[in-house]
Amino acid sequence: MQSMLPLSLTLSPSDGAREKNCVMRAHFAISDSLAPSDGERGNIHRLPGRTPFWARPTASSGWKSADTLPIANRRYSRLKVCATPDAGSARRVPFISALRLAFLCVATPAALALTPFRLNAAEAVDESKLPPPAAVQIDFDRDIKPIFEKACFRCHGPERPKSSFRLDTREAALKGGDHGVDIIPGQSAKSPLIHYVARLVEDMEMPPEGKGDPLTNDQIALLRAWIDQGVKWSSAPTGPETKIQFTVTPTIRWITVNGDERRFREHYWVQDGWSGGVQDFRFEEKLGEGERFTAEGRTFFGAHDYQLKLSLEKRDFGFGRFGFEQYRRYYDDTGGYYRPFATNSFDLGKEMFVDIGRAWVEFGLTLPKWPRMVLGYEYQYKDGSKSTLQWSDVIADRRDPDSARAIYPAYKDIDESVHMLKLDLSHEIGGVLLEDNLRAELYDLETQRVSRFPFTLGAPIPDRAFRYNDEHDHFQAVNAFRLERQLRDWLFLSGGYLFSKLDGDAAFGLSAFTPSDPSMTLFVGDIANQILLERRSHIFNANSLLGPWEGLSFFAGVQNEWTREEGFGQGFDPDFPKTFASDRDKVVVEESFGLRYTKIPFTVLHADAKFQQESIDHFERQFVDDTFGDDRDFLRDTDATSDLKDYRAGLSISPWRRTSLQAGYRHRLKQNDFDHSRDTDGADFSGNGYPAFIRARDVESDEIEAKIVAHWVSWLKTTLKYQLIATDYTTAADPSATTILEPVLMDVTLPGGRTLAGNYDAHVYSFNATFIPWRRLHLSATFSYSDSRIVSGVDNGAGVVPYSGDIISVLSSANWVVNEKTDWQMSYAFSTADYSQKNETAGWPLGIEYERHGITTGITRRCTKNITTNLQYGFFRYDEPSSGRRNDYTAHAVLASLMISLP
Amino acid sequence: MNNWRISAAVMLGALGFAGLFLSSCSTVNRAVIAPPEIEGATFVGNKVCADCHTNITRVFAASPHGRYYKEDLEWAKMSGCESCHGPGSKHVQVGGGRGRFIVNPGKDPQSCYQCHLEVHAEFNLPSHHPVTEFRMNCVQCHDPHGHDIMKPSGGLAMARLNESCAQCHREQAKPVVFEHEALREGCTTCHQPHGSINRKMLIQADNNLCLKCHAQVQSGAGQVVIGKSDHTTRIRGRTCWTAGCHPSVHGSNISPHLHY
Repeated sequence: MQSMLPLSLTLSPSDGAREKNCVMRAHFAISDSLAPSDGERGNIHRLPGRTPFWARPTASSGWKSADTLPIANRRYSRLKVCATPDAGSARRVPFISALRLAFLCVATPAALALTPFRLNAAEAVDESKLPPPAAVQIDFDRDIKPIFEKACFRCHGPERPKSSFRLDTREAALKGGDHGVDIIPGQSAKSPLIHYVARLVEDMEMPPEGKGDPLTNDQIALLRAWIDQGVKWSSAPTGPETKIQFTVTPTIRWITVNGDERRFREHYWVQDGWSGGVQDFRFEEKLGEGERFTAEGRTFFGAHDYQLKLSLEKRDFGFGRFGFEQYRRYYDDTGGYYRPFATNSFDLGKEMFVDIGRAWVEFGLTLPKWPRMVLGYEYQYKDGSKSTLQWSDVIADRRDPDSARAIYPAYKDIDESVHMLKLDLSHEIGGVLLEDNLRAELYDLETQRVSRFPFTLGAPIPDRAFRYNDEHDHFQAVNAFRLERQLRDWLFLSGGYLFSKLDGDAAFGLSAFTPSDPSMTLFVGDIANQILLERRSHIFNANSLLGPWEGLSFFAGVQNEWTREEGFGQGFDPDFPKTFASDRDKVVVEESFGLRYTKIPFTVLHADAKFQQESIDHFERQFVDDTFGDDRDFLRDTDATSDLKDYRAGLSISPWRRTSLQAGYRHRLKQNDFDHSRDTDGADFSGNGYPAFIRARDVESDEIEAKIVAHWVSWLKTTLKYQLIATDYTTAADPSATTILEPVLMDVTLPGGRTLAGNYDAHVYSFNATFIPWRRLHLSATFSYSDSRIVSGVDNGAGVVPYSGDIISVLSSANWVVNEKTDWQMSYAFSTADYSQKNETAGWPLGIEYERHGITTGITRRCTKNITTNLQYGFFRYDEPSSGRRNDYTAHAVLASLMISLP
Repeated sequence: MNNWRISAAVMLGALGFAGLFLSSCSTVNRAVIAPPEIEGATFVGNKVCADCHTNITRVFAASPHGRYYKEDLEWAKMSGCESCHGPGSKHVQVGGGRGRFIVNPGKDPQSCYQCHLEVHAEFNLPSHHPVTEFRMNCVQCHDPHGHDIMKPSGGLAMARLNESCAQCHREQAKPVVFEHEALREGCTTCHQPHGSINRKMLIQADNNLCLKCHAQVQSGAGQVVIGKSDHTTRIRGRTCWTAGCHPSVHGSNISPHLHY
């Protein structure tokens, strides 16, 4: 039994303005209501398929069988009786109600005074124009729900309902929205909803024009009968409301590696050996209407892979979230390889990995008509040791410096932490969306790099090792304010301002020690315990997007950035005190333009242009207090300017429904000029040589891209793509004189001038085919071939030779639904590259040549409604002849999991 | 021997196809659904998406993806919102909601791989960001809609060079006294962000990486002078960043020549 006493007053402008902006209604309603349950969430149960089994299936590629995707069978029940009329309003805190009342008291007379409103009360509707109620017993699921799904939920569902009016639950439907009560049980002729769908109220026709077809008289008659019969919700027999859903997937994994197991870990981001735990768990409980608690995560012991995410949400109120996650990044400790040394590559015999993690908590407020606020804190960290490419010399003959090759491995210990506070606000006022994002972070970093050299072939250990200790901490605050507004249907404007401030300090220390006894310091090198760093940035941004004609849109934006960086330090070099400093003032102005045109049949045209002008006032100096001048003392003042022009144009054309062709061209040219107004050193030479030696540097690039997509038939789709990239690097230097060491010691004059410092060309061909011969079998394969070559201006045929070669990458998968309970998956990934170089005699061939295979196969079987088992096997092989086969490995892996889901 | 192997392969293939054929004839109602497909859903067109996601759709034309964006329903599968998020009819029917009958490419890159084939292939190379391992996703670096100020990559947001990378690689992006001017050109001057055959995702593994910018006119053949310093011997057995020469490639607080 419901009762309702409507007292409604609708004010709408007589000029026909749209309802959302110009209709105000004050209402007071008393009602009883039956609360339906939420519709079931469209959960997707994923099957491990295309994803390699060592990855987390929780976020797997989403391959799934149809029967594992429960269609939202929204079940409405009458489990909950709410006798609170307009319960949402009643629950609001008093001061919000007071604000609303005050707003109504002020806004209503003001609106009446300022706007030619007319009274548009429900009584004004000519009810005789309404179709009569249908003379049938209404079944909600059969008669009403399809109408709502087709015509109403698009705007009046649970998420972002227009005019705050929802039709997804009975309680919400009876509560009404911004315009008051819309459904009066038992009185369809008086219910505004019927007036709207019958299109009897000007500017309130539902669905609005362009948002759906008007309801037919038969549909309106059904709605009337439904209201007259008491607004009964679902009549379908439903079981108890699903309040709790729980899924857990215990998993065990075993991986064995023959060969370079550390390289395997680095490639696949997993630990070999036994590991196990919970690959995935998820718990969800519906606490009430719009209230939900979820917990999800994973715990993989042995792999140091953890995640926990907790969330408590209440619709139209707010949320609280907490999370923690960590994974481990592995590194190989092997160095380089030089075949003439006739020895294997060197390694450090050190397990190297970095744990990367973060923990966060955030609270959000999502009250309707209030600014959306999110306040959060996040802690990020990296902790461990990683290999570096800063390899050290290995010497074959101490008397011949040319016999050295830098192949001895190096590493770095890292301890990094970030504490970050964030505050996000967004709100729409008068059609203007305002956003503010604040980030304040405290950053702390300590690293120690270790390099050992020189190492003489045949010696037991390197002669010595160097420690480079870096410390850095800073506080940075960034605030970005942004606003945007759709000013007209054809005009959108946005703009913003970003301010960033960083203050930090750093320290550095270099020392050498004996590898056999790291506690024994041989000598201390450069030290700087006091380094101060500052950075300030201001960025302004203004944009417009215009669409004055149908199918044509044009956007233009301008951005201005000013950044100042300063650094100052004091230390020792290594025996004399020294000071050093730098500051850089950067001004960047960037203009961007874009054009899209879609009205040519089957065609989209686009053109973009970006221009950027940058000027940097760059000052550096260093002074070593050693009573004599040398090139360690220097003073440099450079005015650097750059000019960027970036053009793109292209089209997408689809002359046939199943085929589309995309093609585009891009030309990018960045020209840098350097004016060194001061460049002196302590020896009174004009110019310290580098970098105040480069006068100009241009980077010019052309790119062509073409793609053809063909849906030949419903079961076959192919995509073919081609890219060409060609880039030239041109450098101009001053003429100068210097002394060279080879072929004989002599003074030479460098002529200076422009030279093609580098030339890079690449062709990339990609192809994908998706083949579905039966609806239960899905085959897909992606093939990519690239051919690239870079030649630098120093191609002396010995030390430096072109870096050129080709890469082939193949990814394929097959998913087969074997029967009602069993699925089979298989995937194969392959890549190979040949960038081998032949300059062993006078150089060091660093080009890589390798072949990598990975094949996985698995079966998933649903044993019962609640239990699914999965068994997978993987085989991996890696061959790298260019490393002297030091990095080769073969691996086998087995994974078994059991997914238990409730209910 | 070879004939025996060929016969065995043919037999296995025939058995496989026979299994598939027999399986296809049985009364199994299930089907494989691959993202961004959504079982039972149909395309509704971009205008329907715009009803609720106005803040995104109204600026989308200015985004990089907007270059191939077309409003017509018949294009929805190939160049509309639903080409990435899947057909939206069921999402609309249930009144929307996060994750309700809609594909989120931020959680699953399969939608992105449909068009970015070469990127998918790059993630298959030995040195790559862990996207295929699901420890990263595409939207951590890219803003597909072009309006997120905290993830600048085109569109109407405030794009700032290297900021996408600096979100995680703070150490490399932190301020220093003596910078390496290469960072002004962007991280991608030296690194291939999706994946590379070279460690540390370097574009080149040898000195070409540096010399493409640092080469200058020499006074004689075979000579390698950089600035005023003869590097002819040095670069034969070393890269620029090894042997303690210029290892601080991201800038240094103490050495203007990036020695350490």
